[in-house]
Amino acid sequence: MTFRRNRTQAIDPAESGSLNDLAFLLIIYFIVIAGFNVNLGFLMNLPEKGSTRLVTTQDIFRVMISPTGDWESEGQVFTSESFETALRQKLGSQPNLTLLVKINPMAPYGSLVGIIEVAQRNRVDNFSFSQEESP
Amino acid sequence: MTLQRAKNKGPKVPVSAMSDIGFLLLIFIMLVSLINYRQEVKIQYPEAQQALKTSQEHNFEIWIDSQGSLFLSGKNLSLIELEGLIVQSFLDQPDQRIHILSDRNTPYQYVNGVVKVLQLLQHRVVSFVVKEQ
Repeated sequence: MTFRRNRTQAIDPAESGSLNDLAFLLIIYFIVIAGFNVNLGFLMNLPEKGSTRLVTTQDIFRVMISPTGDWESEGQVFTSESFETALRQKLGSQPNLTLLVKINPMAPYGSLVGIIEVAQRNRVDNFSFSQEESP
Repeated sequence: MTLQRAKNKGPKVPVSAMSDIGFLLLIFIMLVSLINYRQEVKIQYPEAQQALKTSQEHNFEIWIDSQGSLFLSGKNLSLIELEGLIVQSFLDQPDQRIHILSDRNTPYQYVNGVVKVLQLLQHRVVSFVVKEQ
């Protein structure tokens, strides 16, 4: 005698099979949207207005940003790579180096960000930037 | 003639439209979340290779376009108006972080104007926002 197994079908009264796909799409969408609002950048500590700090003049590395966005120091124009090399050499001999950046009022903001990036990458602790005084 | 009685299967809720409703719901939520999206000013971000995540729970974003115009939540304003709004905003949420989102070609004097205001208000930390290369 053979027994026939009772075939039972899964009961899904709400037919919720497609809801998995929808939930998955929602998750992807919110992950993507959440990533849009995150700002990446450099944190800068602003000094108190009018505050002064004593620095040995030998430890100062002065860099000017020209109106065209070039980085200049002691008559030499730097590219990003050559500036980083020069900065590393100076840091090797002067660990307490202070990077002093004077920015022309018409200099593009992107040039300043470039210097900040190089300074932070090389862990320059003493970093100062200010706009050139108009004559 | 024998009439066959219709088999009573019991009440049934039509659920075949459930996926359509779900799909409409998805579109609705997408649109609503886009409404809450921050109002951006069209700028060319400065680029950097190694940037840190500077966003916090509460953020105050100051946008500066290539012409030096200031924007806050898409609204153009002057430096004096900005100063007032920063003060008001910090009274409401003292732990918020200030971000400067400026075009890479903006003359520095306009960014310097904002930095001076922040110094005047004794703000110590500011984030210069960049786009990662």
